[in-house]
Amino acid sequence: MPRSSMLAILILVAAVPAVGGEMPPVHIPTEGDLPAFISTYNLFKDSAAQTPNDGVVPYDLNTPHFADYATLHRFVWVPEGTAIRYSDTDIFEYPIGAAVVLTVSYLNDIRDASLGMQLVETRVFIHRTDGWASGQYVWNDDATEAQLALAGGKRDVSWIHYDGSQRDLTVRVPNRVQCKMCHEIDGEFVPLGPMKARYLNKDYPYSGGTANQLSHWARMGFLEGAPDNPDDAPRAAVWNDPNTGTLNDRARSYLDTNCASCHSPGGLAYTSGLNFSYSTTHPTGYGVYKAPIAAGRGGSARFGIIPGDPEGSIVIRRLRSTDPGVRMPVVGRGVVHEEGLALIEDWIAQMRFPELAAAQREQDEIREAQERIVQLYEAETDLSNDAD
Amino acid sequence: MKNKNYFPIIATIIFVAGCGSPSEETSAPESVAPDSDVTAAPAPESAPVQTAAATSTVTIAPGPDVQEILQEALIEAEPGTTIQLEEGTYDFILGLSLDVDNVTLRGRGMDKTILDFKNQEAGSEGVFVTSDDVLLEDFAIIDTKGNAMKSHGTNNIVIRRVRTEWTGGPKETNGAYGLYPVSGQNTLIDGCVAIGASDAGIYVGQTKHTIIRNCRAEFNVAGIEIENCHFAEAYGNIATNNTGGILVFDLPDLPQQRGHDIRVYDNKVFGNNTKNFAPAGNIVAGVAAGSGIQVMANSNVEIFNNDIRDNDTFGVVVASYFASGNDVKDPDYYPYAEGVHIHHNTFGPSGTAPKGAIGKLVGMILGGTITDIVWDGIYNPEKMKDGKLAEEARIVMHDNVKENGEITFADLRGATASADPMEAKVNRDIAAFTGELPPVNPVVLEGTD
Repeated sequence: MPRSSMLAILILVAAVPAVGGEMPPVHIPTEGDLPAFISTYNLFKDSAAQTPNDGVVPYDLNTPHFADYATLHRFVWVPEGTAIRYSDTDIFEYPIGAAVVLTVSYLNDIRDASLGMQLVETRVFIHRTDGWASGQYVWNDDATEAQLALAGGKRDVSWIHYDGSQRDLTVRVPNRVQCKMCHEIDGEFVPLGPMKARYLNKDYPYSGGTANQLSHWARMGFLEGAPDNPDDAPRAAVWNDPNTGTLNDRARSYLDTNCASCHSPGGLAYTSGLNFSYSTTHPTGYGVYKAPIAAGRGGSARFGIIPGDPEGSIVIRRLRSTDPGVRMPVVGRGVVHEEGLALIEDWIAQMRFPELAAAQREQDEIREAQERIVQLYEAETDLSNDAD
Repeated sequence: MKNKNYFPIIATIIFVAGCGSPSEETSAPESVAPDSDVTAAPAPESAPVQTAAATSTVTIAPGPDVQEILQEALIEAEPGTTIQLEEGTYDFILGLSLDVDNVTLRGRGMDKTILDFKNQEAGSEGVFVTSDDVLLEDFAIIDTKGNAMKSHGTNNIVIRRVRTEWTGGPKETNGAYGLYPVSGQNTLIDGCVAIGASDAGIYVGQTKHTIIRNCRAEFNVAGIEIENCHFAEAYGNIATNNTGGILVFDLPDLPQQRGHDIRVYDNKVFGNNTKNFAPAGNIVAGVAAGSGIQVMANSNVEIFNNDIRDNDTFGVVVASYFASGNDVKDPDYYPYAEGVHIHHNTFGPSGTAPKGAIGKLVGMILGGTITDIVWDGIYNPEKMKDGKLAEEARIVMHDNVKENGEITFADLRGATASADPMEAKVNRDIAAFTGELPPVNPVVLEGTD
């Protein structure tokens, strides 16, 4: 069928809003092309307010990735009679037909959710027999409908920031290939959010009262294999809550969720040799005294991390930059995360690895001795080459 | 609240006819994947496997919405599709990415179809490829903020007659790499031009089975760099006006290490004296301006039939990783250069005005002028028996020719890693290093794994 007529039909179908009455049930198609409009899924009773339909369960994460100060609305839905398989350490196994939904929105005032928000896009991940499929849907101005945008898109937003100033931003909706840059692990496309116990193991303010998410999911019957007591499940530190973990725990959680989808074995940036997974124990793995490989302008320092020296650490230069050739992550970040940056700066400032430092110092001393000798030699022989 | 929405373009048919519109046509099957000459070795059975599917061509011309049009075409392409970019300059503000197997992206010539990224706002590459059996040819990628072209984990990618350039000349603010295939196998870079990269113009890293041939690399920090590769060769290339001409490196803390089986031959490597403009800290920031061919920590390397001249610091230098000044923390890393065979090269003037920290150091050790061929003399002590290095670990040379003089050589005996470099007893006796090693096998590219 020519694309033009297919599109025309889709527009006609989608143009009919659900008016009043009973909300039809969630519809997650598990084969064929993704629906062109988000309304097809019946995910929301009120899309502008992100009020989910029955059975669509909101969730949150201990340490989410930074999304340019967006407020993210997360949901899961599993078909009746199926369940997600719990694991302490591996990613959860989702049943076929399950959906994971993430909406990117900007609060009009980041300090006060009651003042309304602007919706940018909603990503729908569907677990099909051939793996996870996903589409990103860009919302219209009224937040009544969102359209599939596999090639990505952009949208201007503005908001009042924590300090009361107005912030303006053109949000880039990633295209399908960019999505895969973070969401592909060992060649398999996966949603990243609700996959690990340690990030889901937290309380959530459900309409019926606050409860631990893992317990709630188990009680609702769509999570099996989880420990009865959530204290027996791993729990990540909350990056900005010192009551939940040490500085090291919080920094490592932050790097895990923001960096490790690429910088870990099987990830797209593992060729750098960096592994920011929470489980990495070798400090060189997460950048300590590790020389850059192909960092380009982002590598304008000797090592990924120099303990005690955030200013001299490439990791900080990456997080502090918005230059496309320098910043990290390369996809999904257009502004500096001031608070996250401060966390990692603190962590590096307080970090100490005396043995590694001594070994590097030994190398540096040889280098410095050589330079002094060369300088003396040049002074004596007048063999000066000004150019380097 | 400002709330302006740009609705994304969701299908190619939305584009009205006219400038910037793609036109689709179905053509008879043609070879869009690499041609059979992808195979350098005379082994016809190893030609790439062609997909028999009918091919279609999408033609795109410059225009205001070309960012969306081309990215859409790259996403929607079916295997077998050729995307033909017409002559002209294309302005992009975002990086382009290709993740569909067996796609050709073709321009009308490296000076006629120009992908211009000077206004790039996002994307660490101009063109990023993650799929197999891809052919990129006959266009230019200029002024990207990061790398011009990168591929990751691809099997069977051919990059032919593609130019990557930063048009403002060599500057630290230029992107890092021109052509940058990493972590794949069966890679051919043929007839390309790379200018102005602040790291390497043509870089292959952690790949298996790679050929770089008939390219020109100019005004980059590293002209051509082969890093942590297994089975790679560079031949018929011109490397000039770079900081270093051709580098064969191996670095620690990486998934693929122990670079080996590398051939560098029939290249012209001259006048690589551009001041090092790499950002501090990068491994190539330590490369001395004036470097011709450098081998670091690779095994089984054959360097032959090259024309090497007018490089002010090094003609050919072979070194261990200890030349980098970094402590080795990786227990799996092998820091030594071994089995390096240097023969039948022609040398012009070399090493007459050493530059850079390492160049000045070696210049001092050798009394001002650096020999045509230098080895840092750092070897694996476990391979030394009765004062002789195991055969496969040796650095050997023969039949190299120096115009207007005798070829010169120095074994620095570890001086560059010593706090007292003048104490080392440098060995200039080329006779002790004259010898042969078995030839390194030619690289054979295969269409499938």
